[in-house]
Amino acid sequence: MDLVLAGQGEVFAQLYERYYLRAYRLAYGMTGQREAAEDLTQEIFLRAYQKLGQFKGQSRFATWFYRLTVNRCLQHRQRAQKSIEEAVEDLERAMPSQRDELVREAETALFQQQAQALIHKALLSLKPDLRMAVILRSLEGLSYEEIAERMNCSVGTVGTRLHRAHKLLAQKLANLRGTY
Amino acid sequence: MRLTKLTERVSAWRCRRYQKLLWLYIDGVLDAQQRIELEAHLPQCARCRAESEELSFARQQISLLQLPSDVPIKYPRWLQEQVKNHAPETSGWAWPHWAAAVGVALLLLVGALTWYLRRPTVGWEVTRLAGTPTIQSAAITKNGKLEVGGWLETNRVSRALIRVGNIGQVEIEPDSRVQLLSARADDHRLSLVKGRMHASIFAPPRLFFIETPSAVAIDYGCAYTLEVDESGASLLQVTAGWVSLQAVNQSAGQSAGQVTKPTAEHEVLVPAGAMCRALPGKGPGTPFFQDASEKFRQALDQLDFKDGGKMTLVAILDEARKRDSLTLFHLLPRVTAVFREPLFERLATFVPPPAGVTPANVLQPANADKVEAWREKVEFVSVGGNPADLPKTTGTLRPTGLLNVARHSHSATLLTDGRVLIAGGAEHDDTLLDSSEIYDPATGQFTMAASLTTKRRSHTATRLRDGRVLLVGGGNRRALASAELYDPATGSFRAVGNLSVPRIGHRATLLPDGQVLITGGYPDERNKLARAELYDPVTESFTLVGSMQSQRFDHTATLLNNGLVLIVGGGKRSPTGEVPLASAELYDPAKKIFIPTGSLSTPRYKHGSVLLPDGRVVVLSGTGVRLWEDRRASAEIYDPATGQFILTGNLNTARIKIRDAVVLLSNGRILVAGGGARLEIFDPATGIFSAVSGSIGAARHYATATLLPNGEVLILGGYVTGLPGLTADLSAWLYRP
Repeated sequence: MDLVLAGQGEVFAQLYERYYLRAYRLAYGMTGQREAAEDLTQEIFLRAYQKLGQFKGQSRFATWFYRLTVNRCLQHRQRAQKSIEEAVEDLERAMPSQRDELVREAETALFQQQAQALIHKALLSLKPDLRMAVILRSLEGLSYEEIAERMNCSVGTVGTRLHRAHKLLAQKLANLRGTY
Repeated sequence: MRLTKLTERVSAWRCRRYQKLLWLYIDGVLDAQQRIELEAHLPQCARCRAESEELSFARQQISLLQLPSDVPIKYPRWLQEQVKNHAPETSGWAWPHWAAAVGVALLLLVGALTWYLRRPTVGWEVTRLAGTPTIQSAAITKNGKLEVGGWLETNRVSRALIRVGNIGQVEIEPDSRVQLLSARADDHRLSLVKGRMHASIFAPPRLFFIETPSAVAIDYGCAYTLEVDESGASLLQVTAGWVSLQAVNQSAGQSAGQVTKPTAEHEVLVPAGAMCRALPGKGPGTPFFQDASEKFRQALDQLDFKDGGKMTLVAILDEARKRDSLTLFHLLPRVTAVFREPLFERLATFVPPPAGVTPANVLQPANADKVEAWREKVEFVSVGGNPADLPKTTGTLRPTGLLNVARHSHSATLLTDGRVLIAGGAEHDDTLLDSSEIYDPATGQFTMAASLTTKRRSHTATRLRDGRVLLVGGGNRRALASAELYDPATGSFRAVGNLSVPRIGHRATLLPDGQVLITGGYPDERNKLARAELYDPVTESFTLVGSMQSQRFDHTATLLNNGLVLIVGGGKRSPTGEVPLASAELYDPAKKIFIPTGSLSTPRYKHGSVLLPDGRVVVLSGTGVRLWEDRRASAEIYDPATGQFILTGNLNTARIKIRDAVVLLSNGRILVAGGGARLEIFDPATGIFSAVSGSIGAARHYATATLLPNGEVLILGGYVTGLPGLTADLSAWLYRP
């Protein structure tokens, strides 16, 4: 019995290593904070471990796990609505005041960071289901069918969510719009 | 008043239907029928256009966001403890049995997996071109190995390159799934389950195979594109040489199931310039030429895959050109005896049949030799035997070594020793580069070289008379004032004096006296420049030299044979935003003044221009107020003798962002390499643009084309249409006139 549990632990460690980045990316996309993303990822794995018995192999393990991750990330915000504002503040703090900077070479790298922060900030301001749809589509490159499957909604809903999300994002990002 | 309101409401109601489709359109998932409808609506509706621009902007911005791709895995003790001390919840099964069985099975699996991963195997090398392609679900960061039985997958944003043993290469486009079936020296075999790939194979016939759900493509020494859609249907497009398409169960044997005796019906030989479709369960259809008429192609599709009746055949015969003889020939065994007669007669008007061959006996084995001779004649006429029926040869395109770093908005400068310096640029929209690399035409390889003094994209690079290379300005959203000099003797960069004002979107022109004229551009998004300055190679500094007649950015500046510089188009700032210019002016280096000259027939910016051997200047493509919608296919020629621009032939593709991708070839023609997946050649003698056969995979913006001393052109970089967020890839090509 001990042997089995030890074996179980080893197998779980393997799964952990293999799927960690996948879960972390989603968690980071949804929270915008490294620490929160780490915590959330660990919670996801704990939940996955506890529910391992429910995985009966009708689908690939990856699919099952991904779905669980999406669910967990979507639930996460309900408890932590407040921390989104904190995350936004964090991101803003990470952007030094633009006015004080001279036109210098180093600025380009800074600008890139700022642009990333601004974009992420806009993304974080979206409702979780819109945010998740955008992350799965634009950052993870999934098809509408795959997103529908993972978010447990219809393909039509995926389209509507993405449309609404991008309309809102365009407004929030309007000041980034250049001519290049 | 009331009426206006009513009209507004009606039009708003009409729009609502289209607005629902806009996002799907922007995201590339709208079906063809609705897309056509929407594309007809968009030019008429400013509101929908504005919204589609907004959506597309947001989509592009979001794709710039990078989720971490490499984080340290933290597996905290508390979680390990949890796993160690608590069993997972079970659902119905008794824990010990379940756990024992699964635990042992998983342990075995892990063992087997470890063995499997470590066993020595042969495979093909895979290089990441963009995004994160995967092999067996594992991400490829730079290179990977595809083993026999292994799967290579690309998602919506990734591309990869497979080296096919030592006989060629295959480029895998986004959203594709490929399996390596065999890597033997006598049987190179891939399976393309979905997606798109470009193969370039240099080997004897029948060594390279691609299996799809509907057909097997067999290489006869060639380059081609193969595409498989969700239903498993394939589309083959041959760009060079020949490819044979066989019905699936006819494949040459090794891996596909039953082998039946191949018949002429099941193997279709497709020549360069031609395409062929195949459907699952139905196999390949009839090959046709890409330039066949739309009606002809539709009728052929009907005949091949649906119930093509008499009218379909009539349409085919009506629409057939001499070049379509090959298609007609392939149809002979496919139609019933009643239809064979008119088909035969039509074909005979293009290519006379051998004596004694009639519609009634053409398929009889006794006539096989004669018919074979006829087929050769037909192929000769269709594929390239009759110069009068074909566009003049437009040269060839082939891949060369890969860049070490993906770049767009970089510079590529021919050095005096024949090598090419590739400097700076951006990997993605905001990932600026300070690296450089050198391309050696002798080896066809890129090697990393010295670092620039700073990161820059959209700078200018000018080879000075002493062979050193001057890089000026550029930057990112905000411009740089700095400049630097590359010395081929030391292989390093060093800073020189600064510009008097930071510039991006400017142009640099080497003057006959060795100085460099820097015109226009902008220091930031709000301000555009009319000011020009001169770089003096002796003092290594810049001095202002007066102002142009207008602010200009993304314009062109071309040195004329009479020593003047022709400055054309570009954009300027106006109260309503940025407007493109039709005006042009001349810089006189002797008097250091700018004087107006004739105007373009249409305003252009982000266009290209090049000096012809006879002293005239071709100005081509570019765009108007709306960056993508107003792209122009037109071109005009400036004659210094009259000071006027005159329109010439149109390009086949409307292009933008081609400032460094248009070159004069040693044969006096012009190569246009950027802004489209296919290259074009302009012949000043006829005023005609012709497409070059083959493709560079996708439209590339801010790519470079550099004429090499041997007359070939090195084409590389640019951000790739279809990849989000202005992303470049590693591929590079050589064009030979």
